[in-house]
Formats: sequence, structure tokens, C-alpha cells
Amino acid sequence: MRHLFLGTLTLLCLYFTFIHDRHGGADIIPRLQALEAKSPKLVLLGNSMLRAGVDEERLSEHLGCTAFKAYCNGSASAWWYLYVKNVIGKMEQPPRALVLLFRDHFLTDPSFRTTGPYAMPIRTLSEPSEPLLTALLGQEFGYSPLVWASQEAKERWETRIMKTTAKLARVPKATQYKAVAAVFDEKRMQAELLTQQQLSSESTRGLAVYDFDSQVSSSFLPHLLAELKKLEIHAIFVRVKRRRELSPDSKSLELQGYMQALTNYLSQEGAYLIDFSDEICIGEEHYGPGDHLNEEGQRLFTTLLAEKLDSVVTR
Amino acid sequence: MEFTSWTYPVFLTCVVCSYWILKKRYLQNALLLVLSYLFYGWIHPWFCTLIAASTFLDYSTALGMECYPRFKKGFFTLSLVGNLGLLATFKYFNFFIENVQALGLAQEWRGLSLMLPVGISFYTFQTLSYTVDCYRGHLKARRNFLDFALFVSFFPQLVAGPIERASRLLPQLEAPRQWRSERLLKAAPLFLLGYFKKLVVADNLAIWVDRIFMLETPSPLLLFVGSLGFAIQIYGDFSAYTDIARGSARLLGIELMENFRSPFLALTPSDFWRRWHISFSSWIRDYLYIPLGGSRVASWYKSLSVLLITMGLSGLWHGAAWHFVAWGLYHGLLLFAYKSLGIEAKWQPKTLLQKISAWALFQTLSVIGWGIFRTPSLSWLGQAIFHPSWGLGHAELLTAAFLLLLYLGYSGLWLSHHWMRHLEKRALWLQSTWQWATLAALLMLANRVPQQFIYFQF
Repeated sequence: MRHLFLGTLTLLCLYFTFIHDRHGGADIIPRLQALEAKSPKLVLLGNSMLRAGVDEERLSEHLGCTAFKAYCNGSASAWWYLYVKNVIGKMEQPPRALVLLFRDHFLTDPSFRTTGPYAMPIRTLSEPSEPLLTALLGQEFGYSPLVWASQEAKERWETRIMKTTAKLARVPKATQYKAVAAVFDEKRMQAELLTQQQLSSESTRGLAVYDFDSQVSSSFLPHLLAELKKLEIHAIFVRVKRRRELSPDSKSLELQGYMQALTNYLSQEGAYLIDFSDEICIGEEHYGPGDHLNEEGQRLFTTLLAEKLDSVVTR
Repeated sequence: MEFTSWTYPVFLTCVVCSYWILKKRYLQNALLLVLSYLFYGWIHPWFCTLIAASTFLDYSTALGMECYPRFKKGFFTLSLVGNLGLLATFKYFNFFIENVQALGLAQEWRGLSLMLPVGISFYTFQTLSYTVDCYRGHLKARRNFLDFALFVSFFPQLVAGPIERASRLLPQLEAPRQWRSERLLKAAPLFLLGYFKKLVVADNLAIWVDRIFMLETPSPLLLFVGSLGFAIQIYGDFSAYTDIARGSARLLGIELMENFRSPFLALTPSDFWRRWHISFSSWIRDYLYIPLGGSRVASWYKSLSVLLITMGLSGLWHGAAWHFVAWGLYHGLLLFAYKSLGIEAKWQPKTLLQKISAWALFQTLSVIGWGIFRTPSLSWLGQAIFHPSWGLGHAELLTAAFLLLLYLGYSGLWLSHHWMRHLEKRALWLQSTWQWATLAALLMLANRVPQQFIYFQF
């Protein structure tokens, strides 16, 4: 009896400390505040491809208006949809245009990058009830309080260890964080291994990968476009050039068919598509690990993007 | 099917329930055999044909040795060639081709695009031990094919050991088993600790260790810290598998052998190999080291050769790559060096200071060995060792300190397990509290993206 009592007490303490009244959305307000502080006319949305590929200041200078990079490493369409709905949707003065950077067919794969380490960013950008997420992602995205609580607990545990190290070493917390970030900076990593890691995380669970028509209705894309229309924001989709597209025969017929269907769909919905996959100016020397552009690549791509956006926006 | 998948607990529950409903031993064994093949072929059903072939080969050659003693050697050779041939084809052929071609030879040869069947190194060694024991007359060849097939394919230990000896496992499979509720009470702590070691310690440390080994040129300090992290990771990972395997087998009335005995307490290399992967190291000792002469060889160079061959092949067993061989040779050199200094298996330190020094020295050497084991390549390792700086910069020191504290942060509860074992009889409430705390830590800190068990790749 004593053991049962102890066990029940332990689990109850656990529940009330970590699980009870925990809901997501922790990131919504900070991101909204960051956005409102800049009041951009143009918001760029994407993942680490955006982080590495676009220089916000340079782009703003080229376009003559404030641009804001909103990204989450490893994010995909689910996170982008939530950002538009829960962050941009709450702005008092929404931007004039949204530029969304994507790769291949990932706009219409709703479950891409929603599980494992990619689930937490989605959680922190979600309202307590997200019926679309549950509808599109189903069982894989159940609101399991224990799963979310455990992810938070793990992060807090490692943060606590980081702070303890700083205390013992008698350095400010920021110095400790910067030290670890500097040692494990992407530039210090073996590029081929990072690329392998990136490619191995792109498995798409055996879907009919490039079948646009069968995918679009059960994806976030139509809902994202609907949100942008509601907010009267121009939607501009930018297809980035992947490293493997440097090779001339990299595009399969299926992918080409998919892209044609996507172009037609976006055109019907009043959105623009800028496709850099065939951009000959971007070469091997512009890439870092994986599909990320290096510094030179970022400078070039920002200029090219600015030129294209200029012509789209003036239209 | 992996132990950390959601399907395994469901599978195990179904196995245990249906197993104990059947009263007859042969029905229980038949059920286990079918379910073991289901377990093994869950993702790649064709793997089952290989294990079936190995089973049939060793069953018939062992019987052949007994029924036709004149052709004993022939049957034994057939078993050896068959088992080692299987291993060589699937695991080492491409490695062999690459190295031959690196010498500028046989450029026209092509490698085989074969998937490495999970667990092949384990079950071929297990069946080889059976045929060797039969050949030596230590074991009678089994007539009952069902029992023998189950011995080869028993699912808890099929994929990553322990490598059971026929003299230990077969009698258990041939004896009737009855349900006793204490089995559940004795299996539960194994499952709890196993999953804790895997999901909390090994998988969380893996994230940081992988980052270190992904650096272009880490400093010696970071390399050492990364190697230490890997040592904890691989011990957590592999001993977790054994714990879960033993827990699963215990629920079925079978006792599998202990595979680890606190290797981080080892004082010397020979002490370490009596504590680490015991089923494998004892297999290597009985079937390779002793037949080559063992510790009885007279001259120092023969002794060194025997150790290097034994340990080099042990390294190669772990994987078809030169850094595994290098790791094995490193341990061979350590064993030889300690032996030359008179520090052999029976050596005991006289004072506490001697004990601490011996422990510190050997564990440092062991961690260096794990760095060789984990390295992506020997050239990378060379660049790290001969790094221009020792990594004593501010950022590196702070990072190293953080990582050391992180290792302690995740494995602290596991370390207390050793202390808890001493309280077994006296403070039951304390033990119970510790179990609940471990469960809570497991629920809170488990990595939600479990990594594959490291030893699956062997």
C-alpha cells in the first residue's frame, strides 16, 4: 500500500508540475511582438533555407521597404500555415505581401516535418484547438499532454544544465550559450554528413510523391492561401534551387508535371510563383552544407530575389 | 521490430498471454518459434530465409557429426564454411572488394548490393558455438528440430544478443515451464532500467556525441569528451538491449545470461573484457583465443600475435571498417602491455590509491579506445589527434564543461542504481521510491525519436 501511495503521489506531483494547464502557443506572442516591432511591408516565410539564403537588410535596401524573415529551422507547410494564421493573422497592420520559400513538392505534403524534433515548434505556434491540424495530420498529431510535457521537460533540463555550467564557470549565461553555439556552428561541421542528414530526413512515407491533384485538397496550401486572402496579403511563392538541381538531368518528368500543376493552381488562386530551380547564376560554389547557400550564395540569391520581387510587386 | 517501437509492447503482451495459455512445452516452443520469425521478418521478411538456412545447416551438420563420426571433420568444415560464408558474403564482401581495389587490383570486380541482415553476426556465432561444442564432444547433437530452431531464433536475444551457449539455453527450452507471478515482479525492473538507459541516457547523449563526431576537425579535448560521451552512450544502449531482452525472456520463463557487469569499474583490460559484452568476449576466448594458444604461449611475440589476431578479429566482427579493426588491435596491445607488466587477470591492487590510479588509468585508455571505435574514419581521427591546438580555448572549455555536466545530468539516476542494489533487502520503500522516480524521469526525459540500437548494425 505504501508503495502504491508513493507512486501515486509521485505521478500526481509530476502531472501538476509539468502537465496540468500546459498548452501550446508559447511562441505566438513573442513572434507577434517581433513582427509588430518591425512593422514590415514584406514578410518572408520559410525554414533554414530562408535563414541561410536571404539577407534581410540587403533585401530591404533593394526593395526600398522593410522586409522581415520569419523562419524556423526544419519547418514545413504545417508551421507556415500556423504562422500565417496565428501570428500574421493577429497583426494590427498586416504586411502587404508574404514571400514563402519552399522546395520541391513539400507545400502539399502536410505531414512533412511534423513529428519528432519538428513537432515542438508546431506545438508552440498552435492555439489550444487546431481542428485543421488534427484533420490533416490525424493520429500522428494527437494532443498528447504527456508528449508535449516531456519535450518541454527535456529542453528545460538541458537549459538548467547549461545555466549550472555557467554558474560553476562564473560566466554569464549568454557567454555559455554563445560558446556552445560557436563550437557547434554549422560552418565547423563536415558538410557531406550534414547533407546526408538533411536528405535522410526528407522521406515522405511512400506517398504518390509528385501527384499534385491528389495531394492539394488534403494539404495546408489551400487553407494558407485562404488565410492570406482574408488578410488581403499578396501571396508570392518562391521555389528555391536545390543543390541536386545543378545537374541538368535532375528533374524527373513527374516533378516537372507536379510543378506545372502547382503553377496553374497558384495562378488560379491569384498567387505568384517565382521558380529559381533553373537559375544558372547559382552554382556549386554558392552552396554550403546540404541545400543551404553560403555567404556568397546568400548575397547572390538576395539580389536575384530582390530583382524578381521588384518586378512582381510593381505589377 | 525494435524494442523501442510502439508495436513491441503489444507484440510481447500477445506473446506472453498466448504462451502461458498453452500448457504443453512443445506447443509453447512452436508458438515462440513462429512469433520469433514474425519478429525477425517484421520489416524484411526475406531475412527469415537466411536464419532458416543457418538453422537447417547447423542442425544437420551436428547430427551428421554424431551419426557419421568418420565424416565428423567434413560436417564440421561444412558448418564453418556455411556460417562464416554467410557472414563474409553479407558483411565483408564489399569491404574486401574496396580494399583490393584500393591496391589497384581487380578493378573490374563489382560489390554486391545486399542489405546486411540484422543480427547476422549474433546468430551465426550462436549456431557456430553449438557445432563447435558438438564437434568437441561437449554437447550432444539435438534431434528435436523445433527446440533447436527456437534456440537459434529465440526473439528476445536474436538481434543483439546475449550470444547464448547451447549448453545454457537449450536445456531451458527443453524443460517444461510454469507461470509464476514473481516473474512479472522480477522482469519489471529490467524493463524499467532498460528503457531508461536507452531512451533517456543513450538517445539523449547520442545527439551531442554525434555533433562532436560531425565536426570537421575537433580538438583533442572535444574528441576526448565526445569519446567519453560515446562510452556512456554505447554502454547505456547495449546494456539496455540486454535488460529488455532478459526481461522479455524472463516473462517466458527463460533466463538469459548477464552481458555486462559494471564495465566502468574495470581496473585492467582483462578485467574489462570479463565485464563488457560477456557473451561475446567469452565466445572469443573459448573459440578463438584458447585454440590459438591463449595465455599458455611461451614467447612474447607469439603472445602478442595471438592477442592481436584475437582482438583484431573481434574488432572486425563489429563492422567492416578499418577503425573497428584498429579498436580491436588497440585493445590487443593494451592486453599485451598489461600482461608484460605482470598485471593479468588475477591482479588485485593492494591499496586504495593503487586501486584508484589503476581505475583512472584504465578508464582513460578505454575512453580513447571508444574514440577509435566511434570515429567516422581513421584519417579524421588522425587530424583530430594532431590538431594544432589542444582545444583549451574559452569556448571549447565551456562546451566541454557543459557536456560533462550533461552526461552526469542524464546518467545520474542510472549511477544511483548501483547503490540501490546494495539496499535490496533492507530499505524496500527506498527502492520502491527510486523505481517510481526512474519511471517519472523516463516519462519526462525520454527522447521521443528513439535511435536504432547501436549493436543492430553489427
